[in-house]
Amino acid sequence: MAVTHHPHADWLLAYASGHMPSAQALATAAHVATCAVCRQQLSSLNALGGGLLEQLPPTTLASDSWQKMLRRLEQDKREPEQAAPAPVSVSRTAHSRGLPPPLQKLLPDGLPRKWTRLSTSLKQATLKELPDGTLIALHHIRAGGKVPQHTHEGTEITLVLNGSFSDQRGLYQDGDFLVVDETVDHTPTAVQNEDCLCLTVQSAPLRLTGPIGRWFNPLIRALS
Amino acid sequence: MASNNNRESRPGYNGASSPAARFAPRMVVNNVDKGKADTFAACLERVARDRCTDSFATLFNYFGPRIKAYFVRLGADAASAEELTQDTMLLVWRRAETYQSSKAGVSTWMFTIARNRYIDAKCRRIGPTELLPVDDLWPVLEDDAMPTDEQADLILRGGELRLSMAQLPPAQAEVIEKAYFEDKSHQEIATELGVPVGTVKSRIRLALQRLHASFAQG
Repeated sequence: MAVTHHPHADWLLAYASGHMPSAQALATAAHVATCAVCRQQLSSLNALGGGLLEQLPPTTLASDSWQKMLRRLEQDKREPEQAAPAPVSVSRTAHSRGLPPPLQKLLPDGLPRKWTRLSTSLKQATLKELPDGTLIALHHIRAGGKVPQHTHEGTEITLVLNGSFSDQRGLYQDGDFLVVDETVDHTPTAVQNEDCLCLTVQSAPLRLTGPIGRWFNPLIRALS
Repeated sequence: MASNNNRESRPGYNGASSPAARFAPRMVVNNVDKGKADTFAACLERVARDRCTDSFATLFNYFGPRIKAYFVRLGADAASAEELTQDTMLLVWRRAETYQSSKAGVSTWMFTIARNRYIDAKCRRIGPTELLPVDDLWPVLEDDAMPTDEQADLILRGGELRLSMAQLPPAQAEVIEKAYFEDKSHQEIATELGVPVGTVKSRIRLALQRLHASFAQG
């Protein structure tokens, strides 16, 4: 299925230049891993970074810089086991197969078993809570189920991992990436015949705005 | 490798009928910079194969001072910038064999390694809340992504960037530079320039459209 919703160019640039918090980078990397269009954009952005790096006026290195470097190389030859860990390739277990690589690494044992029900059709599994309040979670919407109408105090990134959902603005399918902020008030609804699994990164807890939602708010605050 | 064969058998590749041939000045820049890029790629190969210190010295002498300048621009003091440069070059030494010239130019590869050291240093400053290793969140080279023809051209024509950047309106070139080299969000860049954040974002989008278009058209 072709991915139709991508991060904007300025979002990808923030990622490529390294000016993005790690939780948002996780969602971006997971999208890029599954999206050929963005992979190509990212290659261009990295090449742009490489070109800009070459064009920087060189700074003088410390006078003993090369000597120090040589000593480190020598030490490295003697003790190669101390080599900094290169990114490890995970064994693609049956559980995590099908998840984009960065998520496979975060979930080496596959999808979490512990889920919290937020409404009749929505459940959540927390993957990580960061000290700055960022919540990384999986959300599961039952086929045809509606998420209570809500808005966000910060930004929320959603990456569709499986299935599809729609809201007031469009239809989102496997691999689609969307960012909503406090100006968006939406009611995501899974399609009729299929459950929908999403990765979400919330920079602040969501705030439910519909009539049922207002009732759920204290619960969500308690969970996040 | 299949991709190489593919690219070289493509009509117009580096030949007189190439669209690039229509622009003589570009050809000159291409040739000069392509020669330099080939030298660096050959150096990396010798580092990987023979652990050749002389080849590594060539890379160190050229990229070391530029990588240090990159860290300084990002706000590191001289001592930290020196240390991060050493860390970056040590990884270049260790990972030389993972470099694939068909996937990225040497400077692109160096940039991603240096950028990841910067992110790593920034994360460590914030606190021990590592989500995943930086190289997993910012993969240096995509494992299974074969470059498209357009990317392959881009890799070969890295030298065009100099001209392409010069073709951008100054206001666009400025935000691109700041976006890469200053430790600021787009919002902070907007505040500094005294423009709305939407303007920064649209300048970035327009600049990237232009750069992509010039990459694509040769």
